[in-house]
Parts: sequence; C-alpha cells; structure tokens
Amino acid sequence: MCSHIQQWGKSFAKVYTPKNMICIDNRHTDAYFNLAAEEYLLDNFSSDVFMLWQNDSAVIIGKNQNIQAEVNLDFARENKIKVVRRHTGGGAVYHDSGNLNLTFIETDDHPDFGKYTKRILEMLSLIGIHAQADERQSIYIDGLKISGCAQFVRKNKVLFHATLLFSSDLNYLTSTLNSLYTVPETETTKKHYVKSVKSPVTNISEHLPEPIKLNDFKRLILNDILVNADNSIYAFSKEDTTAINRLKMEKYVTNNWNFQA
Amino acid sequence: MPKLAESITEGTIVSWSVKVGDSVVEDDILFEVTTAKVNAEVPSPVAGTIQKILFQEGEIVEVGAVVALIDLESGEHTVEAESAVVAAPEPPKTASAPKDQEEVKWYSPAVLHTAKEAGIPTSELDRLPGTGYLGRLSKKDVTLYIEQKKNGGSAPVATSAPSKKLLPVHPPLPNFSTESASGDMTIEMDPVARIIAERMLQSKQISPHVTTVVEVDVTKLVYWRNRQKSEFLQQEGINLNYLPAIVEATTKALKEFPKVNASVEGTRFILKKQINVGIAVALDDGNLIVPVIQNADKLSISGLAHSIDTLATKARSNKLKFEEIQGGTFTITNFGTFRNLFGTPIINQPEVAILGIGYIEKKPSVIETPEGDVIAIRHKMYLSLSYDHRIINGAVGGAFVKRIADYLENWEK
Repeated sequence: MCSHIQQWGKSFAKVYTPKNMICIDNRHTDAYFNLAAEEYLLDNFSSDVFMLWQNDSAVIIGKNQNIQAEVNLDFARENKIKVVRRHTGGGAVYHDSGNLNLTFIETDDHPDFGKYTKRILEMLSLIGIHAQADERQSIYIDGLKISGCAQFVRKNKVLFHATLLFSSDLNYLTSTLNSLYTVPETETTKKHYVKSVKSPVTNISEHLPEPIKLNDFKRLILNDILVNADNSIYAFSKEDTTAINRLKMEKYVTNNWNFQA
Repeated sequence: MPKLAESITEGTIVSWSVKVGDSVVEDDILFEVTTAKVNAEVPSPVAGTIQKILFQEGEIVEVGAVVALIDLESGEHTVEAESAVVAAPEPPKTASAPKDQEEVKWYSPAVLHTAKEAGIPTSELDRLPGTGYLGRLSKKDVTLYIEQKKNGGSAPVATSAPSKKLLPVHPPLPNFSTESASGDMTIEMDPVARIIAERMLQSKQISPHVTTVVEVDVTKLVYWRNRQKSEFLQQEGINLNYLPAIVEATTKALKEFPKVNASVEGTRFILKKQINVGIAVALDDGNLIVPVIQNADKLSISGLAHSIDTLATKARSNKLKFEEIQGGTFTITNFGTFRNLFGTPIINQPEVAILGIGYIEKKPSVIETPEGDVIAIRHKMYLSLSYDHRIINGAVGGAFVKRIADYLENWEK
C-alpha cells in the first residue's frame, strides 16, 4: 500500500467506522448476477457488507417502476442493453463499464441513509472531488448529478446502494432512459408506480484535478476501508456463486420479475 | 406504519402479503411499502390473526397510522409498529432571518418534488394545512391541493402545452400599477385568457427568441391554386387555400432540420420523431387556440386541407377534443389573413420554433432572364420564423426557413 493512500485513509476512517464489515471487490459484470448477489448477501450474511461492483451496459429500474415508462426499450434492444429490475426503490439508472456501484448492507434498527451518502462524499474527496448531496441523497458536482441511490429495508436489515458516474457514455444513458411512453391514467389508478426524477448528469472524470483510472479509484476506496483492521476482504465462495446463480435464474433474468406490470 | 428511516414521513402500500383471516407469527412480512427511494417489507410486530386491513394497495399511509388490526389470543392489537420510538427530525431553522422566530416548515422530498412539478412555491406550501405525521404536509395534501387548484375555474386547456406540466390556473402575472383615468374600462381576464397570458410570458422567459424573415416568390403557387381551386371545391367540398401547401413545404423542411422539430429539456435536446403541426386559430371571443395536425408529414395536400378545415371549424365552434390540441411539435400562425406582412411570433412551448405566414401581394420584381434582367409583376410573401436560440443557431434557422421558401418558389403539382 503506498503512503499517500495511508494518509487519506486516516482522515476517512474517523468519519465512520463500522465494525466487522466484509468488503467484496465483485468482478462479475452481469447485471442479473450482481443484483442477485445483493439479495443473496442481504438474506444470508449476518455481518455488515460493503461491495464494489460494475455492470456491462444495463438499465436498472426501481422495484416499483413501470418498465415501459422508464426505458426506451427499442433503443435498449438495438444496443444490447440489459433491462433489469432491482429490489430497492427509486428510479431508473444506466450502468456501463464507466459506472461504479457501491452497496452497503447493515443491521440497523433506525437507518439513517444520510450517513452512507456522507461516506461516499468522503470517498470522492480521496480523488479531489468536492461534491454536494441533496435531500434525496443524490450527489452533484456543480449542480450536475453523478450519483443516485436507493434503499431496501426488511426488518432491521438495510441495503443502501448508489451509482457513481465515472466515465459512462452519457449519450447512451440519456437515450436509454428516454422513454416516450406515459402510463395511462387507467393503469396508475390500479397500481402505484414510482416515476424517475430526471437530472442533468456529468462524469466524475471530467472534474478530476488529476486524471485517475476507475480501477485505481476502486483500489483507493478498498484500501481506505481496510485501514480499519476489523474490516476484511471477502471473495465469493463456490457455494455463494452457485446460490447467486440460482437466484439469478429464478428471479432476475425472468420476464416475470423484470417486466411485471 | 413504522418509520422506515429518518426523514421519511409516509409511504405507499405496494402489496399485502397477508389477507384477513391469515394467522401470522412475529416477523412475518405483512406488507411491502415504497417511497420515492426506499422499498421496504414490513414485518408483523406480533403473532395473531389478521382481523382487518385498513389501507388498500396503492394507498399512501403516514408514519404512525394504523394499517391493520391483528387479533391476539388475548384480544385486539393494532399494528403501528415502533412509530413512537423515533423522534421527528428537528426542522431546520432560518439563519438569515433572526427576527422571524417562526420555524421553517419541513417538507419531505416527495412533497417538494410534487410541488415543484406543479409550480407551487414553498411560500404557498407554508400556507397549506397538513394532515400528515405531526401535522406535516403529506404528498396527498399537496396532490389534493393541486387537483382543487386545477379544477377551480379552469376551462379546457387552451394551447398545446404538454399536459404533464400542471400550471397554476391563477398565475401570478406581474403587475404594473396603472393610472386609471375616468372612463377607462377594466376587464377581468377569463380563465382561457389567463392561461394564454401566462403561457406567452413563460415562453418569452424560457426561450431566447430570434426572428428571421425571408421573401418568397409564390407566383407558381398562386397559379397552381388558381388552376386547382374550382375542381378542388367540386371534388373535395372545401376551398383550397395556400395553407396546405405551406404545411407540406414545412414538414419537408422539418425532416431535413430535426433540431427545429424538437424540445429543450434542461440540458437536453429532444428531437421529435413525429411531425405534428399546430395551426394557430383566432377565436371569436378574442382568444386563441392551436389545434394540431398529427403526423402532418404523412398527409397529402387534400388530406392536409381537410384536416385544417375540420380543426379550424371545430376550434371556432369550441368542439376540439383534448387530443386535438396535444402533442404539437411545430406551429404555424397565419397573420397574412389580416393583410400583415411579417411579424415576430412567440414560440408555443415546449416547441422551439414558430412560422409566421404573411400576406401574399403582387409586387414589381427583378427577374433574371438569358436576355437580361426584366421587371415583372410577381406574387410575393414573407415567411417569418421565430426560433429558440438555445437549440437553433442562426445558420440552421436561416437555412430552414429558406428551404421552405425554396419548396414554395418551385411549387409544381
């Protein structure tokens, strides 16, 4: 570990130090697998979890969204962009290899989502980015959005995850999320849909004081978290992967789940 | 309804996992609830039998509300899980106004968002009574307020602005104090006039307008109409005027200049796939309406003529359907009717350009011939294009209107 990382880590660790957190540097890039992994971790791990992950091109919509109203499905199909429903709330987001996802899973009776956002702001300051959060816990640089988040709560388990636009293709992002379909009123009275809140976006890479690669940023984040000796690195075991794949096949790849009306 | 997290005051019930008569044990999932950002499964705090479900799927429920009754062996139990445990967040105080001791009211993101979409300022929210948790304003309160506001004296929407944006029916139009002399007459705006006034003002504020004018030699078009008009009237039953030809030339040009058939949304340009041309129609009561020819590029001259005739007749007899004034992507206004030559029309939001048609009149004109220049009597017309300089620059705007002119100058049918 090089010295400047150590130095940054110290300033970071004092803000927030959860105990016994396992950190996963998840290298799978299949959106179906990764969303299944989140659910699997939430259901089966008692320790707190932090996971870094990325997806190949995909639109990830919120649990209670209308897929047609959120996604330009023709564009997604033509450009081989997966469309996957997640189990947290919130709106539709675009993922690609220029986007980094962070997941926190914790046991907390009185969740305060603001603390995770603060944490992400700290991570951004590692690379010299000074960003602001709003009341929806979205993160902005000079008024342009770089991060959105969503949460899931079950009993005292909390899952918080967020995106970070690092060097995504913003034209694809805009086109994929530009659906011309509006849910007819006859449908909205039958079911409650969460509508995405659209914001102008930017990539973190455009605001860096010094250029840094996304992989190096990931390494900085992980090293920083591992400064706390109670935290440890974890890699999926064979059993984990098998179980996650099963969940993926049973749920996250199915039209039943993704296209539910 | 448990408090899901700090700052969350209400949620929508997405689905019940139990029904009346089901027996549950502690921690069984009772229902799924969602807010804008959080999805949650709420477990039962007790074991027993579901006796009554008080909120249906899709209903918004405030934190602390009783959502179901569970029959314990020993009697009845209301489900309102740990609502009392969590203290409400401290409302932030105003730093800049020390003498004003009143606390700034706290609003949930959902409330703020709904209000913002409807164009309701926070100052207006402050005046509304809240029925939510600790007397707070709930999303339901705001939605109800917007509904009432919308229904209060509003006539069917007068222009083809997007239906999604709810505009206040009683906009705070700027006031200049006027000195009224005796004999002045004061006229209260009718609801439609108010909407028009508001939209006009908004458009000028939203779009930096630029207007450019070209002169068109429409002699060929005039001759074409003279040749066709009696036969057209016989066959089609309606008069043939110049508007269908102008609409056709415009749709052809729009196809070549997609930025003119577009909208600006924040920092994005939305290039519209459909070409829906609105035609501004003056009404007898002095108001204005813009019926829309949907997919105007797909219609023939006679199709356009019929469409314009039907829409104009419906407009004047107040019989336009809502969908007939919706979805415009470009507007044409014909002030030539009043023998006006050119003008600087105001863009019909959320479109980005509007074409003004001037009066056609005969003028002496220089014609270049192989034998030298001659002065001839030609039919001339001005086309005025106002465009939104955020998306259309001078080169595009100028080339676009020139393209329409070229189509009309070389009119052959």
